[in-house]
Amino acid sequence: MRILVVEDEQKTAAYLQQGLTESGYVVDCAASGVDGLHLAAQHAYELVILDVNLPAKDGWEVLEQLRRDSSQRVMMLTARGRLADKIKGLDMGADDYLVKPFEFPELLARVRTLLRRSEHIPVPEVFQVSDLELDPRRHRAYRGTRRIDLTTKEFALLHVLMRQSGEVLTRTQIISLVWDMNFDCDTNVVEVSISRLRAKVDDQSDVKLIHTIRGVGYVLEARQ
Amino acid sequence: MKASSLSMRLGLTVSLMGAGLVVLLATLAYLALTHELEKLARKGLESKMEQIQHSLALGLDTRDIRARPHSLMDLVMGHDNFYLTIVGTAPNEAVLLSIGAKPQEPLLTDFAPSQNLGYLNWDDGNGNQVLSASSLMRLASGERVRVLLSLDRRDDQALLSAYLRSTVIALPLLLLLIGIGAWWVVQRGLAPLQQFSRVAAKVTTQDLTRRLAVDNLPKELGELAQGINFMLQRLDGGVQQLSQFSDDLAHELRAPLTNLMGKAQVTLSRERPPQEYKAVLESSTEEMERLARIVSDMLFLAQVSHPAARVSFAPVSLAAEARRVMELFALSAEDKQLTLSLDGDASVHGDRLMIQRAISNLLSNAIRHTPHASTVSVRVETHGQQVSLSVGNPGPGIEAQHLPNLFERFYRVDSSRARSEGGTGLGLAIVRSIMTLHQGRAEVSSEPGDFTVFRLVFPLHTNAICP
Repeated sequence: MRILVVEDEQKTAAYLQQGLTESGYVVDCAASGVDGLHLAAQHAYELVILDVNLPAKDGWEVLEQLRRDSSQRVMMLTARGRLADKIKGLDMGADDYLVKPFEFPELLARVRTLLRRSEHIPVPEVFQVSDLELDPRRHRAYRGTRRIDLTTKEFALLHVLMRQSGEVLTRTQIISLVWDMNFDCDTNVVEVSISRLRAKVDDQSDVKLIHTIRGVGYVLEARQ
Repeated sequence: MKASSLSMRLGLTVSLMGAGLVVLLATLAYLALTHELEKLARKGLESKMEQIQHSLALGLDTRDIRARPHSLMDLVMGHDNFYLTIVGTAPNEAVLLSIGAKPQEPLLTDFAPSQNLGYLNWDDGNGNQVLSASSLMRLASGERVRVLLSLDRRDDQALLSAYLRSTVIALPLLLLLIGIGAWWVVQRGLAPLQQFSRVAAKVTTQDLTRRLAVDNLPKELGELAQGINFMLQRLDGGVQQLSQFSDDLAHELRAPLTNLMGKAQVTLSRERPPQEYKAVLESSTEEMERLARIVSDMLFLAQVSHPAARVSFAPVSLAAEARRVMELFALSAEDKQLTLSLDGDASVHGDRLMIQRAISNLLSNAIRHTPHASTVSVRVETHGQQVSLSVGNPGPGIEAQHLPNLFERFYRVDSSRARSEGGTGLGLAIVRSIMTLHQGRAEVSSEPGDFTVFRLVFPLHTNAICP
């Protein structure tokens, strides 16, 4: 899948390109609005990641023109966090809006969500990673044949991790998805929950599934 | 009309009013004087005529008048401004007597021959006003004569014109005096304003310490000066707070930046195994996360404090939100064997997310400062027109000297401790801003060594329209 990053700040563009490329996307970069429009007209990108502060032609103008010419998905990236700016961006047809500073895993998750919208991946009835199984409808989890006894929040946490297995989830994302708190809280709830969940899921097995990526977040996957 | 100097305008107005008044008074005085002089002249003429009548009635006939006019002469001659003419009645209208040099005969035709005294004002041709009186008189002999007595009013006229002259000369002087006086009074009255403008010219954001001198000011200006001083006081406080704030902010950011840079430089100064690079990156990310959090908190504060911050408020149940936040903190509390309790409920008008955030900041503080195995209690109460949510916990408490500053940005009771525990130093400032936005307030009370209570006070939500 092909993504265009329109960003004039070189370092930002470089790490976005690296991060997205390593996640399996084909990434092109443009340093100005004009170049961006030019590239967008030449290739069929599934997603355009668009900075607002651009030289010559700013992000709003680029967005306007993109919306006129094509139906590419657009994610706005900006340092302006005011609600009015967000509303303006979404009103003008942006599909998503991310405020700097952001965490890269969050960007990645949003990119996946945006791109997933076009496909129709059937949601499996039972999630399975290695010998760990989770059945949301019956509210049960098994490690091999052993039934794991989980509290509601632990179950929700495991559900979130398994649904996005292989993706790194940040602390903020987890708090938002599991506790439905959409602001930065000063608490160690995620650390505590993960360590309890790990005790129930991983402690009795040789194959560890829940991994901490220090400084980034948590991921559930089977590692060789 | 073009705006002109206030003192000039007041001075001119007062001068004009003064001028009008003086002219009016002078005119009135002139008219009164004229009237009085006329009255006096008539009275003089009348008494003379009576005397003439008297001497005529004492036995003079027409011949006697001609032959022996002495008694009449005595009456008139003492005064050089009287002229007397006596004329016989028809048919022979001969002049019987004429004392004084004025030709008066033509005048007689102006008077109807009558027993009553008639008066006439006329001009003798040289610019002199003359007042004449005439009447028919009966002599002792039974004959009738016409008596015409005139009074030269030269003196009266001289008096009047002297009065007029002095008035005309004095008037401009008087007006000038009034004008200068008015200008001076106004200048003096407005002098404090010049002091105001001098002070205003010196006030800048660098120097807000100047104040207006309030002593010796008239009451109206004194109130104004006090108002201005009060405003300067608040501005001064605000500006000082701002500069203190950017000071603190620079300080807060400098520490983690120094750490990051130092660590990176030390790491890069020689070759290392990959795990070491990884460890440095990991610890850097944590440090940067804190930086990012400070920046987002600052942005949030700026957004909330901005007067244009428009948030759509809706009814929010405090207990429900507290319960959700407590659920989030349940594990941290459990870790410290703390019990979280919740009592009461009330609905307020507000923004759910912000209220959650405020409760979360208070609760995380409370949990951090509560000793093991005790209780953090959250209580929602309604008092009169207010709804309060209080978070109370036992613990070491906060000394009274810190309480007033607790909600300031970056204020720390123990400067070394909170930073190492990962707080941004903005939590309580955010709580206060959120409460201000909700037209409420944040309070704290603490008994050192015993119990600390933070309270969010909301105005009671009635169904009235809210901003």
